[in-house]
Amino acid sequence: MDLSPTRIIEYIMMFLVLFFTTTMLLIYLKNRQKVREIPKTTRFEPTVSFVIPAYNEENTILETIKSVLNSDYPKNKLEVIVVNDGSKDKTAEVVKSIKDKRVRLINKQNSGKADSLNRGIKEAKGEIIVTLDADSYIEKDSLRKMLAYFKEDVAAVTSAVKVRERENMTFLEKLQRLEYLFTIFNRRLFAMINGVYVTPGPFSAFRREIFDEVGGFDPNNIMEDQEIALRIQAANYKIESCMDAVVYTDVPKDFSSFMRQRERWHRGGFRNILKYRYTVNPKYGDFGMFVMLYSILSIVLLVVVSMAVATAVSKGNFLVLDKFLLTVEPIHILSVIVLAITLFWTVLALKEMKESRIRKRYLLIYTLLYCYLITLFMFIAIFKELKGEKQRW
Amino acid sequence: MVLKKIERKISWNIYLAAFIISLVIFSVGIWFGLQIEKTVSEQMNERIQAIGNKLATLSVLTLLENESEYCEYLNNELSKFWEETYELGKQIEFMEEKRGADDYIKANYMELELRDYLLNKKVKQICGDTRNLILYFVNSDECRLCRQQGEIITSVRMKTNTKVYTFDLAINSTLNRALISKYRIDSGRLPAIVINEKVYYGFMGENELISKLS
Repeated sequence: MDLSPTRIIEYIMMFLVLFFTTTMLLIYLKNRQKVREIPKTTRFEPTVSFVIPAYNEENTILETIKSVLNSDYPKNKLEVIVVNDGSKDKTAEVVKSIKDKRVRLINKQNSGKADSLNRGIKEAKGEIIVTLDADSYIEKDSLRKMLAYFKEDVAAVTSAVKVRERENMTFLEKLQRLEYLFTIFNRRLFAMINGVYVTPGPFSAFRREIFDEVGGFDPNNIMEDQEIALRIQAANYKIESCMDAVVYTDVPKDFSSFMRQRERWHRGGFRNILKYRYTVNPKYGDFGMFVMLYSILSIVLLVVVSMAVATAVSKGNFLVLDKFLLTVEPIHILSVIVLAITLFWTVLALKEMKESRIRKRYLLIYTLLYCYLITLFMFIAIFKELKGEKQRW
Repeated sequence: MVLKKIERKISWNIYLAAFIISLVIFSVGIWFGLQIEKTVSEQMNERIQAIGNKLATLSVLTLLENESEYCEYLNNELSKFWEETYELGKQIEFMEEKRGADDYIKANYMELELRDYLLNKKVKQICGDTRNLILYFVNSDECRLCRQQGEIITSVRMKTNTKVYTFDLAINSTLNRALISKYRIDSGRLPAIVINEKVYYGFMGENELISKLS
């Protein structure tokens, strides 16, 4: 058995991946009923302010606002605040064309999404503040479903961000669709251990008081939706996750815009994880000792394990069985086990999401290739971050 | 309204269970991998043993009276065994490249090679054929030119009627020590090629090698 230092590191990392996936599975099994439970919608009908930051969204803003106004919610308890972040197109005109008193437009100079959100929050009158992207669309009952999660200790609730389906979706869009479904499920499980680490920009709800407690969105942060979630967690407030409050969003259709998006996510994520690394501490419970610890480890872990799995696959000669057997080492068996467990986990997540109509080939490609591809992007993004390379938008 | 903070806890029971389960799966994976490695090595050694037994049987024919009457049969059988031995050697080389060397298998294989060499040498004497026999000494740990020389030898082998027997001196076996002693091989000057009991050191081009064979 090869016990070189590199191999030993690979074995350790592979064990950690196994440990993480097994932990998630056990969290699921322990909370199986709760994961599926939808809280009964109560009489909790607070005033709600939707804050929609918009920069050059003339093509999508109308549909976004209409989806909000269409919500199954008392009309007099809903307002929509669109913060026009210095758009150069007809975003402002489109918003003004909506003849509904509940819709307000704030024009400001371009200063970024986070600053726009803060401006909107300042103007908002609602007890619950909902952040919504200008190219995202909610379902009629999404708001009610989210509000049902606001017990007295809940500071924020995340939604189920799904990829908007359209005709002739690209292969890349279909894979992202899978990824988003998987993320919804994982986030629900993290909520079981008070470990939700991001309140997605497309659609999240906050108690207004939380902004007084922890402050508004960080205008200097490129992943402001993650940063505020980590800040809320660091202040020991609860974030819930609703798997049924659906919001549809558009995703990059081609590789180059996909890479740009992922670079921003990973670089922002890396900065946030470093900023909140102090929460890797028993006093932050499962959030610190599992979620944050694994976020930090995952940067190294995923790269090493991906390389081990890729090396194992490339070294083996699968076309001829007897040659394949000549190359088999324990690391290859473990790679296959890790792959099989990842596949099983993905299938389980999709079953829980009631999305079993996904074609098997997408499932296989997602597990065997896509996961490693986004790991590669993570590696590149972090490398650029460490190099201090300028972020492209 | 005043937001309530949550009381943090660590789900030790989940992490402990996950650790135990992961350890079991991990151990099973390692065990299974080692079992496959062991089975493949055993099968390889069995094949080496089988060919060795066949060579031993053939060598009995060379002890009989009028042994030259068996030349055709001996040459045919030796060609067949050589193909098997060569194929086995390629597999060992492939395995070494992909997952590292197995010294025990290599040592057994080199013993097989030597038996084949000695039998071929005897048959060459008895039957007077023109086959060339080369002993090629390398060190897989430290020999800059060995791989390059190996490619030249392979090319020559395919163009001429030559059998090549490779011995890796990185393996400290009785056999290797005996060969080093017999041919007075200087391990510091590898690669070394033995043709017709004469030792040649250093890199040899294709034409030069072919000229030494004739």
